[in-house]
Amino acid sequence: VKLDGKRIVVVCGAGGVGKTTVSAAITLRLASERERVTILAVDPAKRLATALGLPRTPGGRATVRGNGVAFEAQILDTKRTFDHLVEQHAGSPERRDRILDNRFYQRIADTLSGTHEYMAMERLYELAATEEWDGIVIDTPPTRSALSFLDAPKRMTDFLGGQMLRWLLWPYRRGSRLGLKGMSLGAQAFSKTVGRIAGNELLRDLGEFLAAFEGMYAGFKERAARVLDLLREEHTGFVVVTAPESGSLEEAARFVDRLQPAGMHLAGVVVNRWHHALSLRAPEAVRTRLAAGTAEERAAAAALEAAERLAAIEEREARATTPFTQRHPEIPLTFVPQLPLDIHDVASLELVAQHLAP
Amino acid sequence: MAGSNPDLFDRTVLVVSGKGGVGKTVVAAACARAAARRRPRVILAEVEGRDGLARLLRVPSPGFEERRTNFGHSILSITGRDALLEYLWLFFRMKALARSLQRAKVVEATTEAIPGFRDVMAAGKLYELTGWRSVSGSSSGRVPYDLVVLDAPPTGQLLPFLQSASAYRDLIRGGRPHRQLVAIDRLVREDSRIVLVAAPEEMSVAETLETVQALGETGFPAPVIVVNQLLPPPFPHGARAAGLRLEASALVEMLSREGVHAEADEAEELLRMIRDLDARHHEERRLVQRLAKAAPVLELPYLFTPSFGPAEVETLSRGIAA
Repeated sequence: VKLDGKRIVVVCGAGGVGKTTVSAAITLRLASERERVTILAVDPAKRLATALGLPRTPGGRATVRGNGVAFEAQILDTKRTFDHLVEQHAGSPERRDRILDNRFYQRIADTLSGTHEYMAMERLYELAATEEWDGIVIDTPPTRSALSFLDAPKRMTDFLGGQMLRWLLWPYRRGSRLGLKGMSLGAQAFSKTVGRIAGNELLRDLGEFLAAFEGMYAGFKERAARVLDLLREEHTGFVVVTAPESGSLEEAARFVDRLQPAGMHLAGVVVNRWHHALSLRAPEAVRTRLAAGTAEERAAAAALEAAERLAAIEEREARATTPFTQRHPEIPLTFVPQLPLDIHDVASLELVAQHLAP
Repeated sequence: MAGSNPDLFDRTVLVVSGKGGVGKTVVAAACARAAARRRPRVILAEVEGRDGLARLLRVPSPGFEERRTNFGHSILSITGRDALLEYLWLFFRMKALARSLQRAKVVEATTEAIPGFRDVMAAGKLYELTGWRSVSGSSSGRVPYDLVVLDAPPTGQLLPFLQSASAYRDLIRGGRPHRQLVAIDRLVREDSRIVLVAAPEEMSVAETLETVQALGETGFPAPVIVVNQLLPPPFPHGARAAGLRLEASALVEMLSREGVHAEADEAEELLRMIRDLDARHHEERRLVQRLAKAAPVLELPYLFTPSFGPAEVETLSRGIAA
């Protein structure tokens, strides 16, 4: 993983691959070389948070110390970040309140997919805009797919500016400038039907939210464009974390494919929880003989059997990486081995950090 | 494990959930395989699963069409969007219109933006696969399934999914949609069994315990926990103490008597590995005991095979049906 010259490191990957651990290890590495380093995390697992001293509540901040280095950890507050964005772009206190009080808006972070991802970017932009930090690592929100992070701004702006949704919601919007013109009878029927299934109240909330948002859409979109520009800068690097499994690696490859056309820079691909085969192996005949011997010999036979099983896993994992390395021979993979026990303190995080260093 | 495993297949729906990366899809597939040996009409379905099932079983992607497999059960990929389109067709005969709206992304926007809408449409599909078909008779020509095994959303999104029908039921007071929502909610609450898949590691166990508690607080029946990827005891019976005492130099000597050359540091590495495995194994037993206090536990082994596909699913299915 190449971190030289990177002020911002964006760590992406599907849920369950150990993204937060890798993010924290990268932060530790940066903190060993630089003064003011922070990690922006989203909902870290309780155990990991306890082990490292990370805060857990949205908006929480804490200093993580260990091995003579220290860094700041902060937890994304999706709602607060969105509120802040609304306050900045609303233009008038009336509009601001109309949005903040809207029931759909109040649940937007839980219901509209892409909101967490987009607000993580927005918060990153805020952090980058201050001169406070020499290094910012962002652990992106857990999603099924790493790609959903890159798709988030478009998803949000499409949704908020979505003309089709406005048509659909026409009957639920008051004060709309958009008349019945252009709305087919079919679309009206559909709209009525969806209202019957989804409940008119919900649709009214959603319609009112979109109406209130209308005036600030341009400002919001421009802001989203600036956030994307930040992600394209030379000093912003993306790290993709994957499990040593074919599905996860396939997705990592697709993510990498997307970065370059988007003008973004890859800093590394981390294959986490890799199993290394051992060099000491013994033929089956030897293992069988030892397994019938003294307690010591039986223990040694068991160890040699375990070495065989480990080799089989490494083979499976190596096979899983082949399609990636064939598609991207120019990208070196960084392997982080499976640790014998869970991360239990900052010192064990250092073990992961060592494997990330070039 | 023999004989004492909880019965997972005594209801109409088996909801399989778990944190990402614990093998939720694999366990769901193994459950379907085990169930198919006992019941004639079993379907394995994923929700917003992006073809994880098809990839695992190495079959063509089913999409929203039920597809037969050679494993004794069918498979299906459910998305809220497709379920909405089907619903519009079944109850409002609006298929052509819905298709044209879909091209204009309206259906997508609807399922994306309306809170819980995607969840309730997917839950509705479960009802369509089971009860609905018997109620609506043979007009559709489709026979209801005995059991739907669901590769459900991960634990973080499980409760909103399970509660979606009751949330909408309270919002929509009358008419056919209300009656349907009542039926869907009953199916989820009274005729489903929930399986939580956990990996034997601290984080996964903590999240599983939190989910068990949350399910209890919201009135769902207690789930069954499947602990996946458990390591076997590394030492054979009676050899553990000797194994933990064994020195690298003694191991080098022992191997040289057998004609195998080993360097001291290689022997050291092997011994460190087996001791790590031993520590890991004891940690895993402790975690299983913690889980067993919260709910019935079914244990599945870590598979040391060079690949992972239908054969491994078959192996695990034997462990489930034991």
